[in-house]
Amino acid sequence: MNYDNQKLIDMLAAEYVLGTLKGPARKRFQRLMLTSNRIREATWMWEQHLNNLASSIKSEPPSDSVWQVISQRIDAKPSVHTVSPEANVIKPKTSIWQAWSLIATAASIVLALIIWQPQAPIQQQTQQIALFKDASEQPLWFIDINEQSLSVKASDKLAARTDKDYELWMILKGQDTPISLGLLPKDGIKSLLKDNRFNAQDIALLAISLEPLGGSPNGLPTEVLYTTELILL
Amino acid sequence: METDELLPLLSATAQGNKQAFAKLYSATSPKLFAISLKMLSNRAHAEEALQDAFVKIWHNASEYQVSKGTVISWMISIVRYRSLDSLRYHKVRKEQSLDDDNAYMEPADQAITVDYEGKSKLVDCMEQLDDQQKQAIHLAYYKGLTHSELVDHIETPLGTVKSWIRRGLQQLQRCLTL
Repeated sequence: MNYDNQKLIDMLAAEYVLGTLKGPARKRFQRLMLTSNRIREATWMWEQHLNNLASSIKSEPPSDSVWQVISQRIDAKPSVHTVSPEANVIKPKTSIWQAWSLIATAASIVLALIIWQPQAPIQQQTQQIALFKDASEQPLWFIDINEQSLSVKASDKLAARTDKDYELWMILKGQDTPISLGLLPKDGIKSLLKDNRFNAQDIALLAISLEPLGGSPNGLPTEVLYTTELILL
Repeated sequence: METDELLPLLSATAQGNKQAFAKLYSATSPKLFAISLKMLSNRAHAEEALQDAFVKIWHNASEYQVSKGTVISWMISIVRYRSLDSLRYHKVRKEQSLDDDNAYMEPADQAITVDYEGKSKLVDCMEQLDDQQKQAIHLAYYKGLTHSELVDHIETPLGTVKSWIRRGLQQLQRCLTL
């Protein structure tokens, strides 16, 4: 799909805001929003316009318990007079879907480790990992995050282009601008220096972009190919 | 509920001011809850979506910028997207809101009666759409219906429904940019 076409961007953004863009197309659009100013701006424009439709909906107060729950969920510090100790534990809102997705991803990673390293036992100290797969679920890069570095292994399934480079990015929660983590190996293993902002709790997404040789010319991803989440084990 | 009133509250919320956040909640939650309730037709699900949305607003308040639109529009989007996720999650689970004690059902008539409050350019532009285009966009916006659900709801072939939405949106865009 040609995402340079402004009319197409506008229609996708409109259907995204309306809600009729769904399933994989919706997820793909959300990923594109992370890396494209034009797509973000088109989406904000439609949100601003279409949300005027909400003016016709008559207000209705929710029950009082809603605020109590919100208040408890945002209150990280124990506060004896308002909430019980149990209620102060902030639980990540993990849906069954997300849980299954994590289990499935973890299973893929274990499988990938078995395929790639039949002789080596899975290292006990590994705590943070990521796996990039292509559209047909073939593993492409496996990343093992250590204390000081990111160890990146290219899969033999990877058919890397010789006229391009592949760059790894992290997108921090609440921030629009991706941060480059370095160029990826086209075969074998490469160690990337860990960015001092690399903190598992802050990372919303990892992404790989296709770049001219030498990496992004302007500090931003040129064409995002794959995204994945960091997995904590 | 103008941006002028909400912006200072959201700014203070971004600084971690819970009192301001409580005021922001009081000022906006009846409208935001109604939006979620209209889409989900289930009080319990709508309240859960509202909770999730406000927790997100608390954590992401500093992300808001004026270029994203008014504060209330930004908040409406957060609530709508969370409600859409909830709607599709519960549909997959095949939960029927009729079976739920907390169910709140609107009459299952095909058309949605829309009485816009105040005038905006969007409202003017919506008035210029064909009835079918308007109805399809209304059902998608208010009820979160997908193309295939619209097919069942208004008993029209998929291609026609997609075309109503696409042409309606294109016409809206032309009208909005005039």
